[in-house]
Amino acid sequence: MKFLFLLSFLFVQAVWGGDISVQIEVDNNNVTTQDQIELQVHVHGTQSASEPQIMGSDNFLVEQAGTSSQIQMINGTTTITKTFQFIFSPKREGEFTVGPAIVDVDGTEYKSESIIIKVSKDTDQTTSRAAENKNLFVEAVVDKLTPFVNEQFIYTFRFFTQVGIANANLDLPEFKGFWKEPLGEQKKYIKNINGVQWQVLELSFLLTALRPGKVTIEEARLIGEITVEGTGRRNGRSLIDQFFGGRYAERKRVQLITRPLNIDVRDLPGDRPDGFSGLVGNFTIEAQSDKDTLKMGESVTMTVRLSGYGALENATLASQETDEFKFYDDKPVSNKNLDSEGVISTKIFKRAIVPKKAGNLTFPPVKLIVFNPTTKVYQTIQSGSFTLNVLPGDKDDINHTAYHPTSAKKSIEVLGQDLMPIRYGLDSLSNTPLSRTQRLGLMLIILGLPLIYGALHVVTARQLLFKGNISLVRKTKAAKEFLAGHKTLMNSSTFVEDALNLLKDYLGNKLNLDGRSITQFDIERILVPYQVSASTLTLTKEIFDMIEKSQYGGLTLTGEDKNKICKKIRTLFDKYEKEMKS
Amino acid sequence: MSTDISTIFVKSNEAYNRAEYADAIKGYEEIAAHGHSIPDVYLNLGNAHMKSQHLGNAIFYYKKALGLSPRDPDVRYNLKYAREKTIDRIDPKASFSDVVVPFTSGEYLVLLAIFSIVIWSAQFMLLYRKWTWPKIVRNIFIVAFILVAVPFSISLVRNSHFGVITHSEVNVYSAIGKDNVVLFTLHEGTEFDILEKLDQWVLIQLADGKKGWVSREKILDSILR
Repeated sequence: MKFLFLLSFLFVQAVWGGDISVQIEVDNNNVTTQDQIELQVHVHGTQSASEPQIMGSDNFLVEQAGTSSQIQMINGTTTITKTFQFIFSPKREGEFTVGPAIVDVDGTEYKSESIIIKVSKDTDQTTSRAAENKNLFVEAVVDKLTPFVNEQFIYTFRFFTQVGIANANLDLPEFKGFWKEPLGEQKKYIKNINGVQWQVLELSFLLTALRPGKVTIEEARLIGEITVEGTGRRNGRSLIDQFFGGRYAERKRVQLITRPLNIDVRDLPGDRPDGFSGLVGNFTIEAQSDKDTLKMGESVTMTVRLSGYGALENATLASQETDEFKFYDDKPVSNKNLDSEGVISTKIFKRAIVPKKAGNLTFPPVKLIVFNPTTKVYQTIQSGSFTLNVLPGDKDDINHTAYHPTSAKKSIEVLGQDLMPIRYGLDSLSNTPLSRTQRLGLMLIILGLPLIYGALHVVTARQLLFKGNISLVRKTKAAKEFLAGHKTLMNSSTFVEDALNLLKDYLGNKLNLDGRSITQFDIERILVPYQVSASTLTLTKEIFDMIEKSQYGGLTLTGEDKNKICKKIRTLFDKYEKEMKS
Repeated sequence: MSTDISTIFVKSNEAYNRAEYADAIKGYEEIAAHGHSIPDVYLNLGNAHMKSQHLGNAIFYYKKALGLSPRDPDVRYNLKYAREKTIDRIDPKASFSDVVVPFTSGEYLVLLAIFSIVIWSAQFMLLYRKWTWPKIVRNIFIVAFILVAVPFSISLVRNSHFGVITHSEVNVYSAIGKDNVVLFTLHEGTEFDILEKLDQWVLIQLADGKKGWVSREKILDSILR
């Protein structure tokens, strides 16, 4: 029997163009986790209400079930109602407040009141078979509750029904802590339980435990609609139906939930041996070659077949490179088959082997260390070895073709972080910063180079200046030559002649003239343009006169006279240097 | 490089490998105490301190190593690794000292000297020959010289006196003395600039501009050269 609870009604009388109100109602507010609730939001007084927002619906799976509008005219009064329908499936047990439902009508919000829904645990779910008295139930089972890390086991979801189900939606758990892989297609079959025939839908997954510890596989949830026969009156049933008295059928939404499964994943026991492959299962390995005789330069393909009950996704072959062989791996091929004892995984590796020398060579067996969860011990499995008869090859027969492994590359997974290592090399100790002296040397280079350049620049400029300019050269060297000659003048045996020439040469160089031809009568003419003072001119004439008289007049000079002349000449030189501007 | 230093270095490395980090630290510090500023020794010292859970000391020595070898990726990585383990979050203000200086002062000097030689050699050539290529070379190297000289000048003028908190929790006071107001608290590994030293106290400044006085015994400080 369908309950109809009127839980909230803000304003009953809704008139065309009149007041707007929102009402929320459910068909049942005391349900189990297996049940579903039909929730309706009625908006009275308008047809332009927005989709309602229902507060407090987090604890339910919410599905829309359509909208409808109704216009009624009673005694001239028009009533408009728009109804939004939802299906609420409880996620967990508890007492929940649902609502208010909020709708927006032309920018104005209208709210309903709230309702309380009590969800209790479905007692039929304590055991999966306890529900057999109903006409449908679900179960989830695993074939191992205490697998080892990396061990495979099978998770199976089964749906038992005696009725049809429509619009079914299966919500599987996330399988956190496990690697999940679908195991074949879904299966449908009929099973007899206690004399009752059940249609069974079965889905299986292969799970691999990733880490040790207790892990819970959450419940799986199947939601759908089943057809049931109605027993009471139903609004809207036609008069013809009522006349023939036929029972009507109606669709009922159902939610079926499995129990969560607690899995205790065990760590591998003891210390893992060196070279442990990480594989957990009961495996065998076999190898065979496609030929046993070949020439140097040719290759032989070894096929390694690794198979057994357990996960082989991470299986790889160890290197077998020796002094006698090189090898190249191809991409392995995997497949899985289900048999009565479980899932048999097979991984086939192809390894191209190229002998490095001729002769009868024995190719070593392929070995793998695995953990066998049945015997709970680490064991080494190995293929047989085989002998290759390698004949010397003709030079032209040598196969130069390079083998390129075609296996897909895997990106490197970073497992942890640590410091970059310390430095060990003693050359580290020579990596010292510059000493103070070295720094000083570099500073001298940086600052000294401009100074050196400056000096060189000056020298070069002078060279350029003097080049072809005799006048400037004579002028520049006049003073220097005078001073040099003046130093030795006193000791000269030809004092008078040398003194006169010294003075004349100085003037000649300074004024760029033939100095030796200057007489005392030329003095004024030559020197006046150079702005030489009158006293200097007079002194020059005096000296010229004195020297010429002693030279041509036979005047004998004493040492004192010579000294006096020397001093006068020097005084005269100083005056010239001072007064002659250009 | 004296034999003694080599021996200590090797023995310290061996101690590090045996996870005897205290002995390793002692050895590396002995090398450093002899005035040998060797970046790799500071890196090893930082690692030994990290392994000994001395976060502040580790950061201090990584910074010293980085000062001497600013482009060493291992040092940069380890410093970043250590900094990620510090507690204090400081939002740095943009400042003059944030300019990245990728070379040591010695490297700058070498570069400047090389550029200087090239520039002035080209200039000497131009004194005698009016060729074009020395002019181009000179101009290129003048630009390079300026580009190197600017960060070098920045590195010379900016405050290179830094410090690191080496105790788990340290109070920062408004003035010298523990009777003053505690402005804030810093935790091991936090880095700062040192503005002033007075007796057993140092005036520090964080990257976000906060200032205060810290007891000298709670920090390690150094001047980067």
